[in-house]
Amino acid sequence: MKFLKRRIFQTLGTILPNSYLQGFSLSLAHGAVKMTPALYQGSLKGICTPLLNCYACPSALFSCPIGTIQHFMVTGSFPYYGAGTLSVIGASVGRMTCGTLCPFGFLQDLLYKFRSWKVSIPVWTRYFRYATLAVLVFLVPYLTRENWFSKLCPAGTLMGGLTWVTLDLNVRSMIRNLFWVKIFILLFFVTTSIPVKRPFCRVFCPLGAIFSLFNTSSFVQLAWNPDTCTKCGKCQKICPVDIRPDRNPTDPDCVRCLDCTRCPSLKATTVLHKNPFAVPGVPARTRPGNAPVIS
Amino acid sequence: MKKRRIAFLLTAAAAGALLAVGIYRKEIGEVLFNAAML
Repeated sequence: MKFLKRRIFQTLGTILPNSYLQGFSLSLAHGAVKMTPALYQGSLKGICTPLLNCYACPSALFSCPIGTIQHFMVTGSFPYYGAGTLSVIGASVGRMTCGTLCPFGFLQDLLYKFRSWKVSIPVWTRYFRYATLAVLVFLVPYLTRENWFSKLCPAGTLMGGLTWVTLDLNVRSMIRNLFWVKIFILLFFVTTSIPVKRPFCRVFCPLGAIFSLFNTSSFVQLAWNPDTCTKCGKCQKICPVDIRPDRNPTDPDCVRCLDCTRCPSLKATTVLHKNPFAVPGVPARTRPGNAPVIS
Repeated sequence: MKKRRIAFLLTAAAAGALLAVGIYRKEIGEVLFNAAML
C-alpha cells in the first residue's frame, strides 16, 4: 500500500508541474493541422519546483531550480532565492521530493523494473554528484557565462529538447553536434537505469546533491529500532537507491521514499520525537543499549 | 537527539534567511525573466 501510494505521488509529481496543455496549441497551416509549442510565461514560473523538471518544456508550469541557480551564476550574483527555496525544502523533508515526486527519478524507478541482470555501484560514486553541482552548476556557468548543466541535463533533453525538436521545424533546423551529445547522455542514463538502481540520482544529480546535505538535519527523519532489527537486509532489496537504512538512517543517498518503513524496525519520524518506537502507556526501558535509536 | 534538533533549527533559520534575502532582492522577477527568455 505504501509502495502504491508512492507511485501515485510520483505520477502526480510528473503530471501536475507539466499541466500547461495550452503549450501544445493546434493551428491550421496549409490545410494541415499543426501543433505549435509555446512556453508558459505566467506568474507560476517564478516558483522553483523541488524536482528535476525542465522549464523549457511547453507544458511546464514552474521553473527548474538548477536552471535558476545557473542563471544567477551566469549573471555573476549569488542565487539567494533558488538556494533559499531548496534549503527550506531540504530542511523540511531532506531528499523526500527525489523519492516521492521527481519525474526523472520515477522514470528510473520504472526502468529498473525491466528484467535484466542487476548491478550494484560503489558507494564512492556518490561524490560525483557533488562535483557536478560545484563544477557544472556553479563554477563553469560563472566562468563561461553559459548554463552548462542545462545544456547536458538528460531530464531537459527528454522533456524540453526532444519535445521542441519533434514539434517545431525551426528548432529542428538548428540541431548541431551538441544535441547528439545530449541524446547520448540521455540514452546512457536510460539504458543504465535498467541494471542499476537510479544511476543519475545517485551519481550525477546536482539537485539530489543539494538535498542530501540536509538529510541529517531535516525535520522529517528515518528512525531505526535496533531491538527489533534482525539485519536481514530486505530493506536494501526494496530500497530504490540500494542503501542499508539500518546501517545509517540519515544516509545522504537516502531519497526518503519510505519504502523500507514496511519493515517494523524502520519508521518515519520527526526531530521532535524523542522515542518514536515507544508504545504509549508503557514506560521506556532505561538500559542504554536497548533504547531505540534515531541516527 | 538534542543535537539534531539544534541542527534542524539552525538549518531552518539559515534556509529561511536565504529565501527571505532572495525575495527581498526581488529575484522572483529575475527568475520569471529567465524563464521567459528560454
